[in-house]
Amino acid sequence: MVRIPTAQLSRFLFTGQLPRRGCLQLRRCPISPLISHTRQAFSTAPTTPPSTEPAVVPLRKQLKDQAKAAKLAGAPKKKIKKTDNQTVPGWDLTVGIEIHAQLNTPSKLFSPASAPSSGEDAIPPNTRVAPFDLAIPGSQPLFQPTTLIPAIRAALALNCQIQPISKFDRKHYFHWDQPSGYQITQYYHPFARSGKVTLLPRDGIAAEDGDVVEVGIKQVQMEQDTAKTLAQPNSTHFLDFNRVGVPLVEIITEPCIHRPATAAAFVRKVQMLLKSVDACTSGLEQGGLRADVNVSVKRTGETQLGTRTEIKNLSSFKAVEDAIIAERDRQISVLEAGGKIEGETRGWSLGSTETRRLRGKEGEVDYRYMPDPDLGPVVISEDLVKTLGRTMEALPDEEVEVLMRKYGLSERDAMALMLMEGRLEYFYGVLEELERMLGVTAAEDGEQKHASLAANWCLHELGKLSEAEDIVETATEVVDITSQVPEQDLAAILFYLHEKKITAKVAKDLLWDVFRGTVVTGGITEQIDSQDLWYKEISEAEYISIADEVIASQEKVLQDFLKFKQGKSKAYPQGKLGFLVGKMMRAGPEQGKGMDPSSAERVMRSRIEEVYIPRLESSAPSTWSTTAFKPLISQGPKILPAVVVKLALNPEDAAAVHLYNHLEKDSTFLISSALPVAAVLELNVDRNRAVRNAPMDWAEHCDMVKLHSSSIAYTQCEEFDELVALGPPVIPQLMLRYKSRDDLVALFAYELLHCILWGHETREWTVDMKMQFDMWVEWFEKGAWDEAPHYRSREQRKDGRHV
Amino acid sequence: MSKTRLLPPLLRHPLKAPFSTTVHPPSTTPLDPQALLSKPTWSIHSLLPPTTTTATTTTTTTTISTPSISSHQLSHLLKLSALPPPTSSESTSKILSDLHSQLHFLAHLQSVDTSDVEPLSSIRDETPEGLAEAAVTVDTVKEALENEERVGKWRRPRRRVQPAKEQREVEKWDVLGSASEKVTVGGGGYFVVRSGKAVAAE
Repeated sequence: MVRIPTAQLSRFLFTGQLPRRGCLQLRRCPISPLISHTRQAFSTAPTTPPSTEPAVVPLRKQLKDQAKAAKLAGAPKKKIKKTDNQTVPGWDLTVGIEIHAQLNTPSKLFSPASAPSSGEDAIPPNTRVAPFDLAIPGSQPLFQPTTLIPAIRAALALNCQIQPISKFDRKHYFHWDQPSGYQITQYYHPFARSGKVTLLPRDGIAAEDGDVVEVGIKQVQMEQDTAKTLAQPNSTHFLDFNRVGVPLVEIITEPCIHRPATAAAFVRKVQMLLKSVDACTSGLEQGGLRADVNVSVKRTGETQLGTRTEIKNLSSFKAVEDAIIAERDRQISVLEAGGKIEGETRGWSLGSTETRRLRGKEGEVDYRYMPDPDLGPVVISEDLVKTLGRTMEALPDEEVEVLMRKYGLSERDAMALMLMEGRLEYFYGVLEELERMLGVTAAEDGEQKHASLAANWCLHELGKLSEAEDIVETATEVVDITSQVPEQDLAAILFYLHEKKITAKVAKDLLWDVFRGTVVTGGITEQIDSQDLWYKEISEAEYISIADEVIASQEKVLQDFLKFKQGKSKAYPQGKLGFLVGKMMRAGPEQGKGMDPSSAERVMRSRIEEVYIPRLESSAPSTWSTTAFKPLISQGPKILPAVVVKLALNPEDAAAVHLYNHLEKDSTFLISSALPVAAVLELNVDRNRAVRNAPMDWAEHCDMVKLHSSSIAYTQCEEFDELVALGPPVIPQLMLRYKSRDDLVALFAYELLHCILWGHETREWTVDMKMQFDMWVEWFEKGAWDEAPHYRSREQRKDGRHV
Repeated sequence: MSKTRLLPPLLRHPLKAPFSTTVHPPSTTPLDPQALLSKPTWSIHSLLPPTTTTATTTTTTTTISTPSISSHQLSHLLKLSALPPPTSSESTSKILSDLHSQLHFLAHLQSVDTSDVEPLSSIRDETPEGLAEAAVTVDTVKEALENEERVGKWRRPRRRVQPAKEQREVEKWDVLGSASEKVTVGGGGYFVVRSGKAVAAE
């Protein structure tokens, strides 16, 4: 390795310079503070002035500075949410809306040619044209009275006054989609005036507008539609005159809308109203309805409205709201900058942030309205208006009210169903079928749990089906879920679910089966039968036993319930209850198949109140802690005589009573309100007398067979069995009798003890019976009840010794 | 915009009662029909603005003030009517003088007091019987109402839509025959319209 010259090395260390010669051209490294300090410390000569070269800024830092500068300079403001952007303080917004809707009629307005209707396949262009539609010279308009039916219905849905006499006017302007050079409309005398539309918060109005907004309708008039233009490259246009002359209604509102969200809600509401009376063919998004918006702003406090601008080409409800907000902001910024608003026509396209100018004031057309001399007045008779009003049936508002009031649906669910017409009718069908199965006739308002269940399933569960992975949705077709789930099947599932004959999980699986078409012939009932999905609820007693099981290991949780009962905590520990119920469901049969969570909760709650808390409470003295109690309980019934003696000395000793009740395995001996302490003591005395003499018989028997070495001779006898039947109370007597005896023969008592404790003898071949018995003695004196010597066979033994 | 109230000129003159109640005394001098009929009592020229060349006297000399039209207004009017703009200043002045005399004529009409007269939109039978005959009643639209069905739980009326298999009589004619330019693309024939730069190029 080449030795690095000291000069180079020192130069690198102190100044960070590297030799330039060589294939690598290295940039000068910046001097680290340590090195520069060291250099200053070491250098004696005065420091040279800084070099004339500009300091090289590293690229990363340059980019960072640029980004920061750009952010500070032209940063777009933080996006405000639309719900917060409804009002600008200091300014009032006024909005008027003009809606054009295509009427649902069999023919055009002034010619007998057919009008296109919704749901029809595409018609070849220029095949539904009458001579008048093309303004062929000599053709005359012929008013078609059938167009009045949807027009009057639309006006009545908007609460308008129908004018008995109305007249047609000409609106002159030249455009290639208007062959005659004028549009026939009703400018001076429309056929309906002075209507109103009521909007509620559930329709989506702005929160600042309060509980109700009433939008006044100035007039509703009939007019002609224009031709369809297909734009082609090179400023060419293809015209299809099928649409010329199709009747439209123009709905003009008063300028009484003041929030953008309310404007969008109004357009939505009008569309819903027109659809429900079958007046319009299709909605805003399909092109059957068009909305033009007039926007003006004025400062709060001014009386005169500002200049208004018109926004055209709005193709969706979101566009309506966005365009109004953008235009309002633009007008405010212009006025605040000192400018003036021009009355112009502006356009909006999806995704833009500002409206753009379409036509200025100088391009404004002078329409020269004049009454059409070729057409007579439209005379509408009162009986026609009355008949149409009478046969119109309920409007959407009333339907929503009925859904909420009669069927108990939430407002949100009712509105969601209303907006999906197919789903709504499906829901009614399912409900009818369900009510037939349930045998429910006209029920009172509000008692409609089955209706809410049906609505929930029709909305949400069916909605989940549409998210299935294997559904292919094409761009034009929306998969109709309701066609794949017949009403009868869904009603059957809901019927069984309502009657609690199947669980919710099973019901959802069945729905998927129906959707996939994998239900056996015979319907839902057959399907449930074939797979035995019926819900068999376990009995009350089983619930109680499961509850006992769970509680046995959850002493600590009970303390919370005790605290609530004693008033130390304010709220019922519902969470802890839920935890216990969960443990119950898990402990129950087959992961909760036969268990109903609400029944389990009910049972647990009642057990807590009736049994566990009182048991806990009867240990009344708070001075007595559980830590002292536990070792005593763990001793088991073998210490019962001691407890009995304690009770005899002081029958009021609640601790002793509690301890006794815990230890006593024989339920007829329990201390309770029916059986007071004194009575139980008497019983114990009797019992003691009985067991005191019992071992004597067995001892005699043992004496007779004492020459036998095997234990069988000692244990297979009546006396032995009698002693076993007496149970734990006999243990102290055995201890008294055999503890200090050395008599090998009689020490088969250990077999007896084993039998009482574990239910079987050891049958072990052993030489040292004394040792066996001594183990029992030790257990009696010190060990817990569970720690009794337990013999297991060689196969059962894990580590080769007794437990 | 102004509403033009067109009134037949006859109303300008008071209507003579068909049966006159006044009795004229017999005149002493015999009437000369020739003399009476040789002089017109009224001429339409009274409605036109007075010109230096014509020497006819007008019976009614009313001073009518006619608004003057500027050439800027003229071009606006021609644009509204889709008429070509005037090519030379001569034609402009010709059009303006014509317009002036027409406006003078109209000013005479507008000088009539019509404050208590309902504007006439068309001459139709406005008697109650006439209106009743023209009225649209339930009978008039009976067929259309019968062509509806009740749909849904609320039994709302809906028009039965029958997709038309073939055209109606009135639609069977050569629609594209009147097109100056047409094209057949895909489904059918379209009228072709050119706008903007393409038109200017031609």
